[in-house]
Amino acid sequence: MTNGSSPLIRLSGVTKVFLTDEVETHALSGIHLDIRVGEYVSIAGPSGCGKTTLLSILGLLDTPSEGSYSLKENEVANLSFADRARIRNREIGFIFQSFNLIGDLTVFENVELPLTYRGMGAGERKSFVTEALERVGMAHRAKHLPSQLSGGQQQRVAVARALAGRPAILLADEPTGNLDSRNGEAVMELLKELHAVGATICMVTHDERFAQHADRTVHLFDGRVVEDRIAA
Amino acid sequence: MQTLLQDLRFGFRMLRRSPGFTVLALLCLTLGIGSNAAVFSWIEGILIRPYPLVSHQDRMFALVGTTRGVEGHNGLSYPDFVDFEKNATLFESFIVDKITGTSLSVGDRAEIASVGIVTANYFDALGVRPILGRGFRSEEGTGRNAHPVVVISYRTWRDRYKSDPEIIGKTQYLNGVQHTIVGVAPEKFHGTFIGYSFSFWVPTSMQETFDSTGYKLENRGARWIEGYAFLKPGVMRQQAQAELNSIAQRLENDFPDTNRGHEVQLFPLWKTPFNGAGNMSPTLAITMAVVFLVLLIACANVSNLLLARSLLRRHEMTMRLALGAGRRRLVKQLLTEGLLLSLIAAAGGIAVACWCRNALVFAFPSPAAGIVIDYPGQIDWRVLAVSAGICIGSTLLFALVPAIHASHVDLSSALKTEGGGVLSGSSRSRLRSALVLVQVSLSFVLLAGTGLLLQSLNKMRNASPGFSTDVIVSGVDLFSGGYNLERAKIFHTQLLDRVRTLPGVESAALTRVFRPRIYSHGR
Ligand SMILES: Nc1ncnc2c1ncn2[C@@H]1O[C@H](COP(=O)(O)OP(=O)(O)OP(=O)(O)O)[C@@H](O)[C@H]1O
Ligand SMILES: [Mg+2]
Repeated sequence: MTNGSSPLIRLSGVTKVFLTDEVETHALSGIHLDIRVGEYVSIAGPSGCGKTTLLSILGLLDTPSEGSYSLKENEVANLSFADRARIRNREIGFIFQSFNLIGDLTVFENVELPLTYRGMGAGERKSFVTEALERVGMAHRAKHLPSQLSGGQQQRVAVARALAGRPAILLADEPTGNLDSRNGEAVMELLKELHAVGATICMVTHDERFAQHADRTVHLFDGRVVEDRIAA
Repeated sequence: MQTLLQDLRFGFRMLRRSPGFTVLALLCLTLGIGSNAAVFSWIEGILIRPYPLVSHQDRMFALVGTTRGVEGHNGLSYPDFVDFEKNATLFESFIVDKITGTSLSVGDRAEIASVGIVTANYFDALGVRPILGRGFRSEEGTGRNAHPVVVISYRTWRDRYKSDPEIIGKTQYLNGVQHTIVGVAPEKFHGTFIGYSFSFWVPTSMQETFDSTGYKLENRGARWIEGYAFLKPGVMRQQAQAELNSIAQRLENDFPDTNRGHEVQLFPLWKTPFNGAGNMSPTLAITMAVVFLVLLIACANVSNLLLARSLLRRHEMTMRLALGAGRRRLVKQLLTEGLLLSLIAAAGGIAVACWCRNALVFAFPSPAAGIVIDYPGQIDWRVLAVSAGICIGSTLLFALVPAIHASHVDLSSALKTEGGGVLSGSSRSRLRSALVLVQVSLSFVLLAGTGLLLQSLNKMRNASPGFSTDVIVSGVDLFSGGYNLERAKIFHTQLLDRVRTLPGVESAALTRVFRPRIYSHGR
């Protein structure tokens, strides 16, 4: 695992404090975490321990209260809203628990959306989208609206959307949480395949079975990393 | 360009996917823009620039005779009028335009029509060129009953004379006197009397023929003239008024018997007391206020709809931002959507405005056969632009609300949505039901506003600019129909007796000359 090169992601001393009604919630305290290219990291821990918070900081959806975050050797903890949007768009693919497809856009347009925001030309967009949809086996449903698909199919489209822009890392927050076990396994199988061909993945999951898919499991408790285990 | 196309496509889809919202919003905006444009056009048409084809209406003022210390107005006498015309230096021209009626014989029937008794310079001063023949020659204005010539309106020419190209030189009996037709006025010219379309114009020399109360051209005490004056370019009304005052003063000194206390005032056209303008301006003002209210309410309604929808779209906006949309990009998308909505509405508004343009005519039915009521309603592009601008502006403003939400949205909430996979809506039901409440109450205000508008229109209709519709005026000229005096008398008596016995007739009377009661005197 140690190839000497610097990690894709390095969090050092990251703290996140939420202030609500004069109550401070320390969601994360002093997190140190490196993620290397090609790794498949699973984050586990009890409810409320800060998994989602960690993922939204990794995904530049939120900023840490303290500490530094370097992505591809660039410090990104304190960038402007617009710069974070740009990096999110290029480097990060999100897979959400509740799919979050836009109901008024077709499958194709949903997958195309992040590429559009990148300012990519129509021809290139088309080939990227088609490739991603083929990868998840949803190319035949390109013209459907999300409401015309099953939950498992919707999540596969969401995976395609995350993939299409060829991001540096895929972030998934309980991607199987809204799926039955059969569909859940299918999506997990898909992530495994993606990892096999080189994708870097960081996934939050409650399910021990799925955590096994990853080659490294980080356990959080009360906002701290209590275990960082690399599978044999 | 490509993103614009994309946004447009998405905008259309959003409109199609929520037909309730789309129909409601479009209806509100269309009616708002349309009614405003229509009413402002009426106002512009009736009060600001009432006379189509007449040039320099900005320098045109009503010439009104008044008596010192007495409310209301009367006319000018012809000798006074001539003296004013002769002595005034700040004026380009003076014209007489006295409305009266005539009975004319058509085959074996007799009909009534509206006639303007005008000075010979009338058409030249107005800058209106007859399409056939000519206007009046200056010598035709004077000489007691010496010049039985007539200019006919386009509509008269078309309807009564079947657009006869050889009409010039033919004759027509008016009040029993054979008149020679010397000209046909252009189609758009209806005369210079708000509310009426004239059928015939005769020169002042024929006054006695059209006035049952006698010959007045040499009588300084007979104040019958209504007219207009055109100021020279650059002359202010106050200066012109001062000049008229000094001439009036001189006349008062020279002719104390007839002119003591008599003055002449210049009124802006929209205040003209002797035609429909004076009557209509307050009611038009009410109408204007009401439709402006309607416009505002329409805007508020649409804004509310957009606001309600922005709540529904909150999560969509969060998602788009999470996927890397810049705020500028989102604003652009929302602007495109708002623009699409308001442009469709503006097009609809123009259609409504065009359709309503002549609706005022329906509110005032013609009081008698042969009298054509005319309210010029020209769609003014400035009016349209203002109404459409207000609507488009407010729509765009509120279309941007989701973008404002988006600017302080907690993006990490994208990771936290519960519920179904397709983004349908955040369940902020309290705020939403509050919006619905506002929506409903505003709609009630809209309803009330519309009621007020109808009421005001009704009031305008009752404040009819001339004829009381309770009184049926019927005009026949027996002499031009070939009756002699004896037979006419017998006919009159029999006619009155028969009419009186008709059910629903309270009283019947005969008068020789038809005269529309256009205004109510102050006294
Ligand atoms: N926006 C917020 N404002 C205030 N407190 C927050 C906010 N988001 C999270 N928290 C708090 O931070 C802590 C960690 O929350 P987080 O959502 O990261 O937990 P989690 O590990 O993802 O839990 P779960 O497994 O239930 O999803 C919790 O105590 C939560 O109440
Ligand atoms: Mg969570």
